[in-house]
Amino acid sequence: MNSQSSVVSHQLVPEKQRAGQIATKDTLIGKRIPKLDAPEKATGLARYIEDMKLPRMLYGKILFADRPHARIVNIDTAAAKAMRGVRAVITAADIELVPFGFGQDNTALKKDKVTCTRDEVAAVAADTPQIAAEAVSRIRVTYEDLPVVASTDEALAEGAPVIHAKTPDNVPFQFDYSHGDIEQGIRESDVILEDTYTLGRQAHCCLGTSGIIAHFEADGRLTLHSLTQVPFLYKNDLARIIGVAPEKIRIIQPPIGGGFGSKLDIHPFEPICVFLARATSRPVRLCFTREEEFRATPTRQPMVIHLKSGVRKDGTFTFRDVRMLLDNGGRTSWGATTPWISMRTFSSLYRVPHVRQHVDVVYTNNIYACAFRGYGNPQATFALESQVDSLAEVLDMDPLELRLKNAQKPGETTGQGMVLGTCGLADCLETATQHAGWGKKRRNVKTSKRQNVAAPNQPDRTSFSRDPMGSASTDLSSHRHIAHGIGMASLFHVGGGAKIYRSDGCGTILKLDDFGGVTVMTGSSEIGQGSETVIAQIVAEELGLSISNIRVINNDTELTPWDVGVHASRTTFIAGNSALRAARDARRKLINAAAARLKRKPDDLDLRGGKVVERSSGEPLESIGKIIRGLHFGRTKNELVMTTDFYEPPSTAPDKEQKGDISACYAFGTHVAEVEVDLETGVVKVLRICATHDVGRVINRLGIEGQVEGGIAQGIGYCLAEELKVEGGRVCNPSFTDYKLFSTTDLPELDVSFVETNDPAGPHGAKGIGESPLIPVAPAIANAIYNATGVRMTELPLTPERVLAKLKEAREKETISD
Amino acid sequence: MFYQPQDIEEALAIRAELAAAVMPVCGGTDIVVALNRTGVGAEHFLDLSHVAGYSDVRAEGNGWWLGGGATFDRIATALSDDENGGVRMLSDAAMSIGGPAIRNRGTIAGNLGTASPAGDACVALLAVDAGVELGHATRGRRVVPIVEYFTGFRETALSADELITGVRIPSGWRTGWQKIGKRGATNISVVCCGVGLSPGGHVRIAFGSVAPTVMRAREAEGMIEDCLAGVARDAAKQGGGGSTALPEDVIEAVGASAMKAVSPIDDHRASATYRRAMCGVLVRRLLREW
Repeated sequence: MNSQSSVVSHQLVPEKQRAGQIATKDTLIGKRIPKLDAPEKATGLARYIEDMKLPRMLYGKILFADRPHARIVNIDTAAAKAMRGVRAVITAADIELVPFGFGQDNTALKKDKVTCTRDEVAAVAADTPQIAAEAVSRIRVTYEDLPVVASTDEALAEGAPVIHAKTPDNVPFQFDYSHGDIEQGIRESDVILEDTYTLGRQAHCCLGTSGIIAHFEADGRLTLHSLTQVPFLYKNDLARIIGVAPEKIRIIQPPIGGGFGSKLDIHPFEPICVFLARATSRPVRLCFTREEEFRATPTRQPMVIHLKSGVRKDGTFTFRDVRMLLDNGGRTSWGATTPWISMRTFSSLYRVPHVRQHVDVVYTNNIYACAFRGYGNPQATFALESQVDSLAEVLDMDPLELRLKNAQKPGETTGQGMVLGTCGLADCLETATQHAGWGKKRRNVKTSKRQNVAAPNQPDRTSFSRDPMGSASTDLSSHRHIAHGIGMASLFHVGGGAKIYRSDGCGTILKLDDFGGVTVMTGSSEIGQGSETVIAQIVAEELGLSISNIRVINNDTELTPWDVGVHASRTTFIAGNSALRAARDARRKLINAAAARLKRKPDDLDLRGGKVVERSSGEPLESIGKIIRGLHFGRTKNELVMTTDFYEPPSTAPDKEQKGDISACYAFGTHVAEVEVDLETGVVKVLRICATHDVGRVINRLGIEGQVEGGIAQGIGYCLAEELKVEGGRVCNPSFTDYKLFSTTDLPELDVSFVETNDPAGPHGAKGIGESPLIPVAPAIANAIYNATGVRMTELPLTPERVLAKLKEAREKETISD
Repeated sequence: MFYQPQDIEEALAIRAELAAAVMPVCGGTDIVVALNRTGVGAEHFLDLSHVAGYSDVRAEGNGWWLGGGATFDRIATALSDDENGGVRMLSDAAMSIGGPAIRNRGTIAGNLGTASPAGDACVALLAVDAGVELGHATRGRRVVPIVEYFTGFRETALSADELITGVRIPSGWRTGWQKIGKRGATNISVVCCGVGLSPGGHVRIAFGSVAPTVMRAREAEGMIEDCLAGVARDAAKQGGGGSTALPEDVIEAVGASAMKAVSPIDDHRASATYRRAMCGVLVRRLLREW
């Protein structure tokens, strides 16, 4: 265990570490604080976008192409326009078509051609949602169907149909990365493995579906009630598309029912709603149904990853050579850039001297993908951690030992130039495996392979518990067709923001009223991740106030200072630092004022429990409110306590080779999964997951446990069930009946623990956590399945049918080789 | 119109008058989704959730009575610790439907009314020869044996002017229940299977999601009945009680027969091949545990 960090699990209090520093102070940091927005959400009082109505508001509805690849010959809107209650019908002919999206290959409405079923062709604004829906159904579009490119293979085939004329080879983007020398790595390897991993299409499934309200004020200003998770970038990008100056756009965010990366892009429905508002001179609301949400919002990138990696006999990693193929779909969002993050895992999860990665992003006529919690990292980690497990197997080495051997130590710089100031990877590996009982539970697959993979044709009847009167649907776990296994996987991710743009900062404006009430205006948005509570906690801690004294304003670009957005697990770190610094300034002002008033030295004073107290004894001297009023209504001088801060993290944007210290600190974690595999049905049951994360420092224990548990739920879903099926470009399962999420009642036992490395750059030592918990779940489960069955799963999701087919294939191979 | 009668006679009267123009609704777990997606093709709604006694679950004679409005949660709870094996299986089946929210709303009459080939409760009822009680305002009540209730893909013996008033569950059956879905607790069936053995020696093997309706594998049932009759004859000769443990070769043959009997399709939930194979696995498993 590394000496600079301490392992804290569950209730073990972090206060201990700070005991010398603030012995008498009751700290809020690390406590279990219920989310500030929990009461209104739990009681149904939260007003989501669908609950909002503006005077004279109309309802928008979009006509989607519903064909994967076709030329638009004619659009007849006459019947729709003739309907009573219809206020506007627009097509591409009615608007200025400004290209947008990462590939500049999208427009709000499509003019000549549709390249995926979700392409927006026309839109209606009407008095009621029913009229709008009816009007959309009366729009007649004449198409000339074009050959459909349904997969990356088809897109890359000789003579494949061209999807976008400016990209004749259907490959709009390629990403390359390397450090070291692959050939040397190959020469130095004793074992080299090569595998192909196929990753499916996961949908974000935000419980609040997409929506927006666009409203032009009388003076031409535009107010948008939008669910974006990047309000300031959005304002700028949208301005160009809709032809409104950015300074005339105000973004107000109602409570957001989940983001997970889905709201990092501008989606066509948003400018469409603005165009409808402009066409009607009335506010327009446009909200998706659940079915539209499945059909017409982007997903996680489906990827095929070809990974070749090597290791020396002693377990030292030598090289990784990666080729990735992304199904980009028919348009390009920011999601096309997820390989930027995939490559950081390949280059920097464990020490590896030689790495090369080549990525082809390929157009198809499928629905397109975008950012999704982990941003390419879950896919990379699945491939890498599966192969690390295979390497351990070949070396006949415990997978834990192999990982520990290659885990970086604090202070190392990775091949991609990322400086690991604090690094709790080894501690995470040790803690998670200890909690899981790794040594005891893990069986050696090599020695027991023959017995367990054998087809369970002859059941061991003696092991049945027979209950002649009872139901037979009792626990079958004692039976021979059930195999147990345990597996692990780790992760590497940014923990202190990610400098993608020139600024990765966040601003805070803080003001105190005359009574010690604090308003914190922060640029960072609350999307359910709990940032509001963490910011309130940090400010309350600094000012010695109760958390109920803090009000966080985080949803109105007219009030809040700039922030790059909610992405890259950055909010606790970046917005937390900014809030901390603004609060420190306010604290200084209060302490100095109190010192002058009480004729004490500032260093002798502290703020606790709403009072100025004597630091050493804790004796209350004056209420904070009185100090503020003293400043405000002073005899000689009048002042308010208001502070501002803009925090820019000490990170650097990557260079042309994608190298550089992109984040102010880095996050690590290890998950150990225990599973039961039904060898006859292929059903995988996850029994337990032990998750340990290096989070720097826990700020809100309740919130961070929730983040980890939620990430695991999404990760199990990604691994076992979640797949938006797209066949011939068409979505097959656009409902929760057929798209399976793992909800709370489906979850296994979870053991969540934290390694606290106290990163010097983090607020109170904290690093980011948002995305991390999802990332290692799938490979941990797949490795556990391998441990149970001796069969390697390389394609997600692991539906019972897919698992059974793999088991059967392995059995058949065994039989042949016998 | 949205009708919300307080007693069953009033409900039956409305249904008799409006017939197909009115859609009975109780928990709404199927209807509301259908409404949002494609509509339900009815002008009026008849909400049965306020009908007194409609959600009752009670012992009746040797068996049980389930009011049509009995929710899956109520069925699962009420029948879970009953010593009668037959209803215990029904409890397991009810418990395997949806998540807690769906089980709190979804009802047995709803499952029978929708008559989905994937209706878990329908499969369980089929495996114990349940009786479906249908009511009419003037013609009174009739009990339709469950096997005659399902007449085709989402078609049933329920007339447009009747309501499902309740379900009768016989006593003394021994049963088993198995289901495969793609997720842990809250799932729609990829395949489900219920088996039942009546006190009189009748065997029922029922499947869901493998044919246009929930279905029984009759040839397989006959194979077990013959086998058990043989065992009973031998036992009688020797003066002992009959065992119901089946020889492994019979279990294998029954599995094979069941796989032949079903006619599953490929869809996005699973392939026909997988579903067919799982019919064999599930029925063999249940019989080994009998």
